[in-house]
Amino acid sequence: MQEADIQGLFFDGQTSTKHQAALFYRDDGQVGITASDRSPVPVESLRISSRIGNTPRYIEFPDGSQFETTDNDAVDRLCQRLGYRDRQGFIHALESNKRYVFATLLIVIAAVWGFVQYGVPAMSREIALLMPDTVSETMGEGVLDFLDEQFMEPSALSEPRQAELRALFNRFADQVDDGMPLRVEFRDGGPMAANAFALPDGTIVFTDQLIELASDDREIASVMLHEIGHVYYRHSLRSAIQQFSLAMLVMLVTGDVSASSSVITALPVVLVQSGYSRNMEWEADGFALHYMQQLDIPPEYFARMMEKLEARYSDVYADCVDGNNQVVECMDRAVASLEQNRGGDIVESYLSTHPLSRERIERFRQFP
Amino acid sequence: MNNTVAVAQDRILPFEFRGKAREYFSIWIVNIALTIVTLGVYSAWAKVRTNQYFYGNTFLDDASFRYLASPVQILKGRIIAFVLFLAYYFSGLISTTASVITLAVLMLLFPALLVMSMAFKLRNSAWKNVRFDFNKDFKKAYLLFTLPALLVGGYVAVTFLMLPTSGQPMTEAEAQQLQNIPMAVFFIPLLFPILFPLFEYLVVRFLVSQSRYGDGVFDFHAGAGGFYSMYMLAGLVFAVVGIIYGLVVGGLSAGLIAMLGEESAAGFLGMLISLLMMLPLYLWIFAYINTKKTNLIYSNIRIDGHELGSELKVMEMFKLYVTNTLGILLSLGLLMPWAKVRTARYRASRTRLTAMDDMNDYVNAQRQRQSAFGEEMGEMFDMDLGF
Repeated sequence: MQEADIQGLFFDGQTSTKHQAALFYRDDGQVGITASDRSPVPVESLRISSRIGNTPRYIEFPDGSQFETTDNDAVDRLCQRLGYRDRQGFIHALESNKRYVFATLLIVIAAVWGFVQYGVPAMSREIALLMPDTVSETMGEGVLDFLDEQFMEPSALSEPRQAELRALFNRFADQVDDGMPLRVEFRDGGPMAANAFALPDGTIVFTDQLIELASDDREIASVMLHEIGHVYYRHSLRSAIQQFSLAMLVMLVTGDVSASSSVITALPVVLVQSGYSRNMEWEADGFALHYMQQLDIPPEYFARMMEKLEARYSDVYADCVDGNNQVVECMDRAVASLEQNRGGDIVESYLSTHPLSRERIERFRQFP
Repeated sequence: MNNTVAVAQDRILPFEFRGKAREYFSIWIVNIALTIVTLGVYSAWAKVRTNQYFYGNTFLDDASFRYLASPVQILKGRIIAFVLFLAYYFSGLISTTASVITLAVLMLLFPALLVMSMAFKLRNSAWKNVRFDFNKDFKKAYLLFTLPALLVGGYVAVTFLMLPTSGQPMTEAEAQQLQNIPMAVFFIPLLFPILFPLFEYLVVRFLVSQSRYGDGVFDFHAGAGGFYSMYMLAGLVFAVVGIIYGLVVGGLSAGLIAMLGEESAAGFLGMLISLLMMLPLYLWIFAYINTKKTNLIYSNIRIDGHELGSELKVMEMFKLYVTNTLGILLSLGLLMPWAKVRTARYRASRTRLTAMDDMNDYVNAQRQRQSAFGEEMGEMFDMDLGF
């Protein structure tokens, strides 16, 4: 008893000659090619390729010959009828059911979101703490030399003033029990302007311009604590690990590392990374707040410093300093005018590495 | 009308891609989900399934292409490559020397990896139940890379090891040392753009001429000239369009700043807009090089007198890239399968084979199992040469 034929192409396995052919199968499990002198073979000796969308199916005979057909449904019927088990059949079942596909989509979105939101930060925190401090030290190696060569000049602050600030810093450094050796450096920032930053090896750099902005040493102290926070939480190392995890995630999802996708993936990666560094600023703020309260420094000083750093870029400040007025006076005027002009922050908040300054300032102002 | 009588039985066989975006979306999303659930292990199966989908939907003379690699083999290659990649990435954090050594070892292995990767890819591809093949000529591969490696390596060695490294004034000994370097060394970087098209041509010729279909040998019959004119034209267009673009974008952002005032937010917006406006230029150059190179390579491949041909249009490819990029960005990546399918469809529609006969007589060569290590290594370090 012969079943209906499946139309397709037959290749004998020796040459590339194409034969229009039909495949037949019988209920006793024998499968063969119609109108050929080959005798039918039992279905167990065949290798039938899994179904992938509507791509052709390949039925391989033991002698290396092969039957190729686009009639997927007919091949499915054959498999069912003759009891041929497709080991990857369940994947096609997943792919061809709209409800399953939708569920998978939700799972993927949830997994990617969860990984980006919680997985990467948590993982990088754990790994960064496990890494020996030599890793951080090597990372910081040469960074200061590079910055000195490219951007910064030796500090113009007087020796006694530097010693004073260093003493202040060391008081905090001793307070924080940390494996990393903390040290402070002063530089003329040049194009880096009023700035303070922590290098991975525990070196914290203050620019003269930032020191000049402060009208009280407690303002400088608050920034010192913030930067020590970055070192304490190993933020440099964590950034490196986060960057690596994101690259891995992109590779996993896109399945390739080719140039065309890199343009497309670069933007979301940058956005996610700036989100991470905002969180790290927030964490360093928390560290500073904690120690300021412990050391009886009113949190207000950090808020004031933040306002000044923000006001430094305003027109009011620039115009005022042009007229050769006192820096401190101009700063007061600029900070005051900040309150009225808050509109511009909206665009910046999305892309800046620091959280919206006002949010950070208000966090410190909540404490007396 | 029928003037083919005079010519031998020349048949123009078009390539055809029959995949559907919606269908591939399901395969893609299930692949990602299973990869995530299995913590990456399934990625090898996902790769095979994806390749099987794209090969299987590509038809020539009514017969499809088939991808035959085993996922387990790919998984093994992937694990080794991943471990090495991790070592490379983190050795950079621990010590500079370690990462330099890792990099040097990788560079030494590069020609071998390239050959292994090609062999794996081709030996696992088939059409009409006959496999492709790649002749693993490691010696030739290493010879090919020797001169560029010497040039680049020599230059790096001279600049980093012999020149005084610090910004301090040179000591007498250092000045003496500097004088001993032949001046010619400093002109080596100028050689790179001059030699690169030639080098790329030689690599492509090597890769093509080692390829086989059954017992049919591939042959590349273009000269290096095509590679030179391609890069020169691209460079020229980039310069001209870049200048015009720069003027327009510069004027626009200056106008914007004048209009909104020099506040940081407005300045930032202007910068963002000009960056976004540069994107089409970048995509255009990408499309231009990609199109011309594909046409150049595929139109000059001959298999026993059967000619491959590719006639991609720069404008069409550019439109494809722009709409793909926009679609993927706006859909947060979900239109990636759509982009991939329509690109494959366009490329296939512009590729053809001019066959002298029925191409019936290709004989299957002896099969050997290939390690997937080379290919996975290449993918990890992004070494794909776009062939």
